Amino acid sequence: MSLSPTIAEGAAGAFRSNAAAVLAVESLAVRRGGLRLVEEVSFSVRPGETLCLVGESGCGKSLTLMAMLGLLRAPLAAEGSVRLAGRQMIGTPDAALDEIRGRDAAMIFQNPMSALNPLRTVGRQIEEALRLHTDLGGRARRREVVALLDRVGIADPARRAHAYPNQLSGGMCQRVMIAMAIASRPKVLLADEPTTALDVTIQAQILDLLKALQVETGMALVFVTHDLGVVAEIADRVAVMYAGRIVETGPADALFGDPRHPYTRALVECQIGPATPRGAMLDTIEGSVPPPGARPGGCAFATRCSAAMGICTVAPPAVSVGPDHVASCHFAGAGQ
Amino acid sequence: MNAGFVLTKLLRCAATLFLALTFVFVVLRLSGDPVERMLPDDTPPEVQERYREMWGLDRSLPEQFVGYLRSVVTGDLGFSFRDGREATEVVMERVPATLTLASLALALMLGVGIPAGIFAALNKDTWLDRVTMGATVLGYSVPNFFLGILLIMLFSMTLRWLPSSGSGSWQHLVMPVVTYGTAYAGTVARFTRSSMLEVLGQPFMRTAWAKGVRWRARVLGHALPNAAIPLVTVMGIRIGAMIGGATVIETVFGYPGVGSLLVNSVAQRDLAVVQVIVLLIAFTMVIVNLCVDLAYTLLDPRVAALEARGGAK
Repeated sequence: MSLSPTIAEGAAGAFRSNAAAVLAVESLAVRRGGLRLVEEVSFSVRPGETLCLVGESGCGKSLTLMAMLGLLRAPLAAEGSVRLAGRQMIGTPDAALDEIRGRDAAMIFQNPMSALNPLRTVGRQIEEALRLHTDLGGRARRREVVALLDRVGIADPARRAHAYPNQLSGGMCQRVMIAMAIASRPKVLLADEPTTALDVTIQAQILDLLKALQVETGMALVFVTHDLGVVAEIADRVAVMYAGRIVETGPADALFGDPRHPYTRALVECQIGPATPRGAMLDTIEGSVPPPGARPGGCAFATRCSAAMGICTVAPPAVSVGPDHVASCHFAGAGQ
Repeated sequence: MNAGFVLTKLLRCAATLFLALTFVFVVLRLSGDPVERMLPDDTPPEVQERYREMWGLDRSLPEQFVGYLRSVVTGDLGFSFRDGREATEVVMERVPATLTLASLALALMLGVGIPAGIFAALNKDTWLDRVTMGATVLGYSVPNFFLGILLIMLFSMTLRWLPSSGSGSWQHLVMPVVTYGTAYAGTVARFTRSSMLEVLGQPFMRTAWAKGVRWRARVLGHALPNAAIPLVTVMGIRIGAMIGGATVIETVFGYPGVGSLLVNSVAQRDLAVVQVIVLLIAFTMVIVNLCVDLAYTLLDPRVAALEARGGAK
């Protein structure tokens, strides 16, 4: 955390520019029986890069994340392709994925207190990750646990290693989760709304910590959130999901500066900023996300879109609207 | 575990025991004059008087109560009416048989019930789950005496493989242990299943999965210890009851344990013996409860944290 933000961004940028994707998702779908909950999700992430998956509750962003690590249980099933550090995750037997999970890719979750085993000390839980994924001996592991706790900003790490999760605050538990996740130096860190359950000040600290760790290790970060403030803080690239599909993806500044999909535009307009006048009616998106199975043919957003026309019953093409910036809307190319 | 907590628990135990002792004292006297109940109707009044003096029943109730408490503490709980030996001795010589039966049945109950519950939970909603749970319903809904009689008819009368009653060899133990063990294996399996299912759905189980912990280690290392916590209560109460003797099973199989002694002593109004057995059961339950409470603090750091904050309840 000693690195200044400018150097940090520069270093991360250097990682990005000359490396192949460490995570490549192609035509990923998640089904429950005949219902397709997630469809045609494709994106790739390079080392050192942060991709934010954004969308309302139920849009499939968390399912997408789980599918990438093979963490779906029947009746949920994933199809398509997820290549993680060169290995295909979809279709690989669960037991074989244990080698990859926690080693090449680690995950942190929304509610850190319930994400830790209440009966084990946090030190023991971090040590388990080290035991599974490193060659360190017992003593070296315990030293590394303390070093990791220290690295994620936990004061008095040697003592805290012996604490149980219920003895720590939510923010500290999330730091423990992060320490556990980075224990094996993963190439990809998957984060499922890791700051949603935390106080705003703690949120900012956790985001800063993740950014600093990313610079240090060059890991890629896939960050699922519905909070556009968090996205603005952390994202290099953004993929906006709606009703199980990615509707727009692009570099964070391009996507927020020039949103081309009506849903992205609506999301951006719903945000409260310092410029929002006091007492003003906030913008909302009328209606709700159609549940899987009741999604209209063509563009799923058409039922809530103010600009919808007859053609929207036809599946929209993926329109390239800028460098690395794609929107799935018939009118995306037309601008505003 | 802090000393204050243990002390509180011990004091509470002592209070419970005192209440149990008082209860036994009152109930045995509520049931009427023991002398009249135990001696034949045509006993001369002077003989009755002698017995009253001998048993201290001629004194005032407070005096009797103090005397009774003193005798409990010293272990001098009177004599069996039937053979004149000390009541405690009569009961204690039955305890090993009951403990043998109880511990074997307990091993069977846990050895079958816990794996069956885990198995059903891991195969939730499949036919394997349904078959296992169907078997548990059979296990706990068939009455003990009925299963016992069925076994005797099959293995003793038809096949002549096992003795129908008595004790002394391992053959004598087979049917009582099976009857006793299966009765509660079903309950244990159902508790284990629901407790496991609850834990398997917890977010920390997903964390372990995402961390690369193998399936076996997730089930045995992460899920089972968490699922065991509510099981400890169920087991504790059951173990306590088992040490007190299995009245029905011991009677059906003519097994010489504390349970059959209790039935016989009640039938023959051997009050001193009944009193010892009731006290024994009360003591066991209280002590098992204490053990369960202490086990909680060892198993669950959240309970330990509560008590450290002085919130022992």
